[in-house]
This record gives sequence, C-alpha cells and structure tokens, in this order.
Amino acid sequence: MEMDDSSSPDEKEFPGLYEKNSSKNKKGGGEENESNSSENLTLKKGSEKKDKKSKDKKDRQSYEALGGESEEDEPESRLFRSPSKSKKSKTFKFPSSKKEKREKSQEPSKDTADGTKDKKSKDDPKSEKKKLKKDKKSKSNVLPSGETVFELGDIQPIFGVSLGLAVERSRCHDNVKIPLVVRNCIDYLQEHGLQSEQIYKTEGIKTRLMHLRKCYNNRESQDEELDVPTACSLLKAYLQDLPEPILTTELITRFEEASSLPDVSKQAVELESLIEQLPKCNQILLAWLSRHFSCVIDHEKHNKLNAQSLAVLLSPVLQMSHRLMITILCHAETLFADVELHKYVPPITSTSPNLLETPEEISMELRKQESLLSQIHSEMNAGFVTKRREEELWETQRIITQLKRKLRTFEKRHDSMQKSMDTEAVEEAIDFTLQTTETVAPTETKIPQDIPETIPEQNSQPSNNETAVDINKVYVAENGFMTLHKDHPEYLNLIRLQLENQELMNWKQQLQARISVERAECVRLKRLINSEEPQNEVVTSVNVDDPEYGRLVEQYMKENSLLEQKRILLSKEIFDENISLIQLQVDLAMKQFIH
Amino acid sequence: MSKKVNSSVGAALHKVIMVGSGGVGKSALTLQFMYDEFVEDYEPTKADSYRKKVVLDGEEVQIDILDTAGQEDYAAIRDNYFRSGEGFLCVFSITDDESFQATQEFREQILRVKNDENIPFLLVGNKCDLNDKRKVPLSECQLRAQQWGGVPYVETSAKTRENVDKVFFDLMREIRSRKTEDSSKSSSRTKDKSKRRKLKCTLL
Repeated sequence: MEMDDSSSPDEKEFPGLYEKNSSKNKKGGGEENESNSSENLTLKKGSEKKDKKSKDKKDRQSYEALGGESEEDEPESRLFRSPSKSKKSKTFKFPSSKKEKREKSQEPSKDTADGTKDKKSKDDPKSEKKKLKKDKKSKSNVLPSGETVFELGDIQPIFGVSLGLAVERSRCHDNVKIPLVVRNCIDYLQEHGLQSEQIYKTEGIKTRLMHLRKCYNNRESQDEELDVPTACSLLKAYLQDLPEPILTTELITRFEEASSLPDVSKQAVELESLIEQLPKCNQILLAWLSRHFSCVIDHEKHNKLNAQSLAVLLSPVLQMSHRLMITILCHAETLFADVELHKYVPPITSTSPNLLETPEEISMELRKQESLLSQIHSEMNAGFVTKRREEELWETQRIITQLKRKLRTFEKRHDSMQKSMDTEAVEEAIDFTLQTTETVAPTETKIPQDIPETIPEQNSQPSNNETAVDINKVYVAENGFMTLHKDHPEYLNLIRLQLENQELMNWKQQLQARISVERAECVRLKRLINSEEPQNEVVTSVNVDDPEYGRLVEQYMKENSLLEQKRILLSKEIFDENISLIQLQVDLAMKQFIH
Repeated sequence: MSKKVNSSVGAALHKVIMVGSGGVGKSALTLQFMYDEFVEDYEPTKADSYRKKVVLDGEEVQIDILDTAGQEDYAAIRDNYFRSGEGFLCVFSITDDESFQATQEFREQILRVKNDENIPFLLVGNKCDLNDKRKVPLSECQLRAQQWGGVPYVETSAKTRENVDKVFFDLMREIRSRKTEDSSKSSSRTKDKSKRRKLKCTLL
C-alpha cells in the first residue's frame, strides 16, 4: 500500500469550515459544497497540483486544490469530536496522534495514511484564516439556519484519491482489497454485462453517474440497481480519477518495455516480476480488472469485443499503451491464476434476515462485521461523528456481540457432542467384550468391588489393566469391559448396568442423529423461505381476501391443536415403549450370563 | 435479532454504557440483566452491545447497553462509545480497592467527553455477595458518590442478581427525566443539549 502526499489532498479540505460546523448539527447538505467549491476553485486555481481530468466535477478539483497547500485534517477532526472547544487546532494535535497510534495497532494497514496525516497537520495555523473566511461564505451561501454540513465524501472522498486510501476508506469487508465501487461494478458486469453489446461501449447517464459518485464518496449505500452503461462508466471514472496509473508512475515505463519484448515467455516473466513490485492493492486491482476483462473477451460472440477493441476502449482509462494492455490481457490467466472473481456480500444489518446457521458462516460474517466496525471507528476517530454513524456503530457492535454468542453456543454444543462421542466409543468397546464373554478378565484392577458407581471412571482409563491380582476385584477385559469374578454377588448387577448403559447410549445416538437431520432440514427450509419470499406473499394475499378465511383459520387452528396434543401423547408413548424395549433387550442379553 | 428492532420503532431508546476496571463484573451485570445468566469464567471484553425491550414504569422502552473494555488497551475506541452514551454505570468491585480508585478516572473521562456534569450516572459497587472479602468500606463509597454531585450509589451482585435490575432501571429513569427536561428547555440550551435531545428520534 502506498499513500503519498498527493494521494490524500481531499481529506484536508475546509478544515476551517469544519471547525465551525462541527459544533452545529449536521445533516445532509450536498448542494452547499458545490457552491462553495466553485468559489474555492476561483480562489485557488493556481495552486492546484493535480487536476487531471477535465471532465471532472468542480468540487473535486477545488478540494484537491485546497489540499495541495493547506493540509490539515487531524486537528479539525478532534474539534469535531469535542465541539465545545474550538481554539487553536494545534493544541489538540497530541491526543489525536496518540489515538491514531492506538488505532494503528489494531489495523496495521492504516498506518501509512495516519502518518502522512500527522505530518501534514503541521502547517495548519497558516491555513486557518483562509478556511475561516471560507467558512463564513459558505454558510451564508447555504442554509438560512446557519447550519452547514460537511459530509464524509467532501473531506475524505473515494474518487480521485490514491488507491491505497480508497481501499482503506471504502473497504470490501470480505478482505478483498479493492474499493467497493470497483467491486460493485465488476460484480454487476460479471453478472449482467458480459453478454451485453453495450459493455464498455455505451456511456452511462451523467446525472446518474454524479449521484452514484456522491453516494460512494459518502459511503452511502445506493438503492438503485446499476445498469450496464452506468457500471462501465462508473468504473472508468474511478480508474480515470486515480492520481497515478494503476501500474504506478515509477514502474509504468518498465511495464511498457516488457510489453515490447519480442519473446512472449520473457514478457510473462518480466511482467510477473514487475507486478510483484507493485503495491499490494495495485496488484489486486490489476488482477481483478484483468480477470474481468478476460471474461469480457471470452464473451466476444455476444458483446463483440475482442482484446484489440477492448484495449482501444480502455487503455487510455488505465493510462497504459494499447500494446501493454493487450499483453497483460494475453497473460492474465497465468499472471493472476490465483485470483478468482466472486461476488461481494456485504455485512448483514439488523434488518437483513438472519440465516447464518453454520459456525463457518458465522465466523465469516463476524470477520466482515469486525472490518466494518473498525472502519466506522476510524471514520469517527477522523472526526466524522454523525448520528447515523453512531447508530451504525452500536448496531454493528450489537451484531458482533450476537454473532459471538451464537458462535460460543456452537462451540459448547460441539464440545458436549465430542464428549458424548468419546463415551460412546468406550461403550462400544464394552459391547465388544460382552459378546465374547469367554475371554473375560485376563487382567485386574484395584478398583474395590463394592463401588459400582466408579465404573464410568474406569471406562475412561482402560490402560489400567496391568495391575494387581485379587479374585474379588473388578476386572477389566482387554477392551475396557468391566466385570467381577463370576462368583461375586454383584457380578450380574454390574453386567446389567453396563448393558443398560449401552442401550441408552444407542438410543441417545439415534436421537442425536435425528436432531441433526432435523436441524439440517431447518436450515434448508429457511433458505428456501428466503429465496421464495415473493411467491409466498402472493399466496397469502389471495387467502386473506377470501370471506371464508376466518372460518378456515379457526378450523385449522382447532385441528392443529388436536394434532399437537396427539403428538405429545404419541411421543410420550414412544418414549415409554423405548424404555421397556431397553429393559427387554437387557434381559435378553443377561441370559447368556446367568448360566 | 431483526424482528425486535423493527417492531419497536418509536419506542424510546436509552443508551447505557458500562464502565469500570477490568474484572469488576461489567459483563456479568450486563449478561445477568439481559439473559438472567451468570458467567463464572472471566473473559475480557473488547466491546459488546445489547438491546433489550423492557417496561419502564408502564411504558415500553428499549435499552441499549454497551459493555466496554476495562483495560486501557481499548481506550481509543471507547471514546467513540462514550460520546454516544446517554447514561453511565460506573462499576467497581467492593473486594478490590484499586478498581474503586479507578472510578475517579472513569468519571473524569466521561465528564470530559460528554462535557456535562449532570450526565445520568450511577456508581455501582459490584460483588456484594462477597461481603466478607470487602476491601472498600461502604462509607467511602457513599462519600465518593456524594462528592460527585450526589450521584446514586448502589451495591449489586451479578451472581445473586441483587439490585441488578435496579441499577439499570434507576439509570433509565434518570436518562428519561433528563431527556424530558432537555426537550422542555430546548432551544435556549447549548449544542450539547440539543444533541442529546435529538437522540429520541432513533434511526434504525
């Protein structure tokens, strides 16, 4: 991951503004940003270091411009945190960096970003005045109530910042380190776009793109579905806005050289070693894009795009030559063999159906939630404390707590299952010796005969058998079977107990097997319910309209309660029958011991 | 978990935060209140959050409980929670003087973050079933509560469930009366207050 200065201009914009606003209430105000951004634009145009894309919206440029010369973010954020005090920002620097460090220890990947922030915050006093000025203006521009709001996306956007920052800010919580917007676009196109002739040829609608961009910048989920042109354009816009080519300014020429090597196998080797040198997140993005593009080309029949034409369309966006792109596409399968595109499933919210049943699912979800939680924390530590984010924080925490509890019950259940399995194994050993009674008792243990209760303990340590000699002691057969000398009065009693034990164990096993079958069925049905929800609704709505409905319901309820009672009686009967069955079986088995 | 949240839109939500040193029984109190269970084995908490629907003086309300880490290691994330808390249970163990001394710092931290002397707050002496091992005299506890502007002091036992409901309900009452108070003299108050008042309209 690399986050150079140029990568994070955005996060330091408008600290002054921020400062004042922080004390106020914040709620949605995208428009105002536009207005004051245009003003900034005129103010700071000269200082603009990296405005690349002309098509880009004003606001972004202005932010960058500001970022270029006045960089402070941290002190501001602190002010945000404690709105009561709005003195010099420098005073607050200390605690923040400390905090940052603490946070770092939990998320090592973040530290570069924090480091740069801290460095930058040094020149805040200079920029302070300017910001204050702007602050006033923007306020007058904006809400009559005097409430200005700065959204996360204005200060810490996703578009136009370095890849490393974007990944950090807009994570996929399943640990695939590409920005969410890229992931969503690729997911969508993989699912709906590969056969479309529009793919990478048709531009999406501008206003929609702007809206989506804003949503992603603000980390808001957007409810509308993408469409093929929009997904393509959004992805392209993201790539185009990267401050640096995906192959990095440092290495791009060497990539170009590699692509012009005459020997194809040498090309591959060289490319591979160059890719190795890319920052991790660049590698992953490149891998995902390449795999995705390969899929697009594979569907040439439908979408009429081959490597050549795709490279014509996209190599400028990727800031590489046509030839280089084709070379990469050529080698994509081997270069990125270990990367598999899979659709992103975001962390659940309290409103999404709770379908997690297996410990694996739960721990996977838990990891996602933890990732989400740490992102919320870092956003809050950066000063973006809104009502919504606080709610999100508590909710995510709550989900994590619940998942952990669920996982713990699984573990407990697993433990007890394990234990019962162990004892069953021992019982089986006993069973074995029972059937070959002639071989009874070649060895003895020191267990006093008058304590049949100690049998279970003995069972668990059959290795004891090589001890002492006494006719009146408990014997342990080769496989752990316990018995007394045949003449002992407790001889039959002991055997009987063990037989009973064995039968009960069998019964338990059967019941456990049934329980797990039923559980699996429950899981299956729940899934089914979830996938077929719409259909179900239709059915019920028809029923409700029926005038007979009430009567029907009543009848069913009556019948059901009758059936339920019958069921209870029957299961009791089964239970009793089973007990007498066990007695009979034990009696039967005892016969061979009696003589 | 989803149903609960959906069905209770509109019910007042009170946000309670458990603070105190490690091992004093914050989680034990929380779990006893939430699920009537007492956990013997100690496992340090990082942060856990719970929601429960309860009837407070005839009115159905929801309580959000945030169980925080006693250890300093998690102090960074703790601030984010403190800020959104509406009431605090400051817990120590009556068998551990150090934990009692630490409450002073927790109190200060909370006041710093909330910037509000009158934040709903209870001092809770836990493990009162172990009275024979008591290290902190009752009088000292009461004195401290008084010094803090007369916050209530209650002794609890997460093990026997003694006073467990009481501390949560007493705190919720304080939060509730605080909210009504705030909304009545709303506009004239400072930003801090307006923030708290807003908590009533909960987004889900």
